[in-house]
Amino acid sequence: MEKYWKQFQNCLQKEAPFCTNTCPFHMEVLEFQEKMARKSYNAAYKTFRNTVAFPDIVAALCPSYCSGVCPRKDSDQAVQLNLLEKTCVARATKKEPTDYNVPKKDAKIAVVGAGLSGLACALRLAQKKYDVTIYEKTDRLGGQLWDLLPSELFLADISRQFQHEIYAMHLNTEIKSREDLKAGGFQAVYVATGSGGPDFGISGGEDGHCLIEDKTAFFAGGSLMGKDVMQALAEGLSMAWAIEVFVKAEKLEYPEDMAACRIVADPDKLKKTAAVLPTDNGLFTDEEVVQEANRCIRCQCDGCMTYCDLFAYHKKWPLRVRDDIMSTIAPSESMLHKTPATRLLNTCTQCGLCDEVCTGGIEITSMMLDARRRLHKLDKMPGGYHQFWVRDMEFTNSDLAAITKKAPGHEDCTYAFFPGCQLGAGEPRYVSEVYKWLLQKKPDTGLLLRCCSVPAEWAGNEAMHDMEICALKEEWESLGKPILIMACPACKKHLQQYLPEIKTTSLYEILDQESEAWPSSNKAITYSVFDPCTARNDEAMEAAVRSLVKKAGCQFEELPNGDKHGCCGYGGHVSVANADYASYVAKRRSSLSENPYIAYCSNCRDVFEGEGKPVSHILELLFPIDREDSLLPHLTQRRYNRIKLKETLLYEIWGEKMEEEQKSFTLDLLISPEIREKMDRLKLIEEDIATVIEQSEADERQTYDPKTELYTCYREIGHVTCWVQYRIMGAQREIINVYTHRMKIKLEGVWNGRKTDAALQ
Amino acid sequence: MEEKQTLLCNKCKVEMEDSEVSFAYLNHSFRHKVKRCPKCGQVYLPEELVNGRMSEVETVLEEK
Repeated sequence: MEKYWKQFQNCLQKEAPFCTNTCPFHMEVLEFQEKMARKSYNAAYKTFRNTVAFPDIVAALCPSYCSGVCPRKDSDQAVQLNLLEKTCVARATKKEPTDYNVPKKDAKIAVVGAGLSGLACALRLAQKKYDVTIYEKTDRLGGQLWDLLPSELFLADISRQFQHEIYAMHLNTEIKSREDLKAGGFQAVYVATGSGGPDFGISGGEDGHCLIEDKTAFFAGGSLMGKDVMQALAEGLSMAWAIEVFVKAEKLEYPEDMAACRIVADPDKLKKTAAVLPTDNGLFTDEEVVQEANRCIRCQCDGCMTYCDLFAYHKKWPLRVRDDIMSTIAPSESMLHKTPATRLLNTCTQCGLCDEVCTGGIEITSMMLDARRRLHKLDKMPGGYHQFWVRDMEFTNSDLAAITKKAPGHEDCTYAFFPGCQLGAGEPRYVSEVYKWLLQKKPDTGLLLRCCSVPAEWAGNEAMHDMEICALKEEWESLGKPILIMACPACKKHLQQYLPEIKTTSLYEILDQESEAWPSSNKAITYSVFDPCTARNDEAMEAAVRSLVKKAGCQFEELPNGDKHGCCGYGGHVSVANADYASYVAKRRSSLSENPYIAYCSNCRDVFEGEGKPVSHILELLFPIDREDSLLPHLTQRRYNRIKLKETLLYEIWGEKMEEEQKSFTLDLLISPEIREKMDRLKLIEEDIATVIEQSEADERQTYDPKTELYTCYREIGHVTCWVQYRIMGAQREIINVYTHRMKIKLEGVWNGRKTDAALQ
Repeated sequence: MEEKQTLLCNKCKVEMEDSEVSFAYLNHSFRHKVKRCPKCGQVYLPEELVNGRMSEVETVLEEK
């Protein structure tokens, strides 16, 4: 995980936007704009004043350094921040500064020069209740401001900001050298004598900004050091900070310069919007303020927050996610050890979009996966999260459903069809019909019907994953190392990652290459092709699917962002860990377009159909099959479909009969459609229900309600405790209710002085 | 007035009573009073408890 710590050094979550970076005051422009956009002028004024000290003066004089770096400058016109500031200053009604109740401090500080820079420094230090004395050689405050602004404007601002502060002001007092201040007992002196003024020998010193003599630090800044008027003001504020550090800690430190802004402006946000013209005597009206403030695209590095479902759903910024994950996987047995991300990291769909949008090159997807592995190793992974799919994988790879066979009458295979586990579970004929078609086109195509092992990977179970990958490899070798024709983009991606020695191609490329015409579909409908996240950037597969859609005579449009969207909600097997999140993701993807979708990953297809989004798998268009029922069978039926698929293929292709026992239980269960829906939500199959009832009846471990005649019993199905309520109807068991929990019931080994059967698995 | 519900242990044929039982999840364990058979100790948890408080505690422990 150290690798990810290093990568996170590139995270730009806290990077200041271009404008803040360039502004001499480093104003929090995003905060200011947020307040302006909701017309909170007083709040915006406060932000502005706290940053610049003299808001009226700055609004009047700022040359808008930010407009030179605003990303809008290239597309239309930079956001007119200075006009917004001017409007803010004019519209704010509560301009009185806050009178903070801060204890008086003993340190004596002198400011030489009552120009803008000196006054800013004096104001900041006086606000912190230092003993401040200002020396000015002329008889008036403001220095160069007299040449730049009407005196009533700047004098009013200065006097407003200083109104609560106590300080000594010595006009007509020229300080020419350090000697003149020796008697004052000052700990620090800010020399801001203006352009061409005496620098007390500071600029020639080693530090350039400061010279220390007899424990008194002399700082120089402002126009004296060649700064323009705004920079001089900003430097006065910076030097107040440096003086305070010196007084408190006797060390020299200056506010750090900001490195160049590394944010990459999001082009999607930069929709051309003309600059708003002020119509209220050179200021914006309320409406114009909102328009102009919202022209600001709030530059910040938020690609992950914008594009990744997980970040957006949890409203957690990446550094927080990193910290939560690192804390969760830290090895500790303590009860006090915090594991805040256990659920979160099992909610990642592993779609990889966050990695693509992250400009810092942080591999968040693999960090999530590595964290799952670590959690599994530490035995802290809630077993119930992934149990269903891991068992489903084991079933798919068992003798009941798996096939590894060469084409009939062929000793060698150039190709082998790898349909994946879900396509045939939905409708076995989409596998059997496609395989028959493949055998016509490429007669030496073998069959490798099994799971690609991704459920073990997503469960973080490395040992099991390695074992399954080895088994897959052996089976592929037993077929003579054919090129695998992959129907499922997720399987293809997974095999490319873990078994790169296996050459793969997508079924859709083969269908496209080998076909001339396909059955014509309903031309009145315009579809959108939904590329699964696992096919993102797989240009050949994406192009083949589009070509097939065209050959099938269908109209289609691209989705707004092409294939740059997240998962449908199936990936990462997140629906047990967070069902609401899975549904949130599915809804987000369903609403990318009003058009019905054409999917080519059966998981996407199933998710969209579950959401009520009109969707067809591309194979449904190419191989029309009459079906009475929906293509979304219940989980139990999906298992039976796999058995049926094996049976059909063995018989129809190889003329063999299946020998394996199909049902592992004998109970006759009566299950209503509502209960079946609920079982699907809880990831239960009939076999689980039968196991609970059979074992409980054998042990007589049930409760009975004489009024309702209901029996209630429970058993642990792996990591999940399953409760069943049922009625006995002759030989049948009518299932009335089912519910599950992940928490374990710990029965006592001895109860009432007798040994009990505490194991309920 | 609501009639008192009766629930029997099917093995011991006695009424279930409120009694403490121990639960464990993710290295945390705690006790709670639920219906148990006074003779054999078997447990009954109603769906309201499982989908309500128990589910909440599971989620809390997974994010704690």
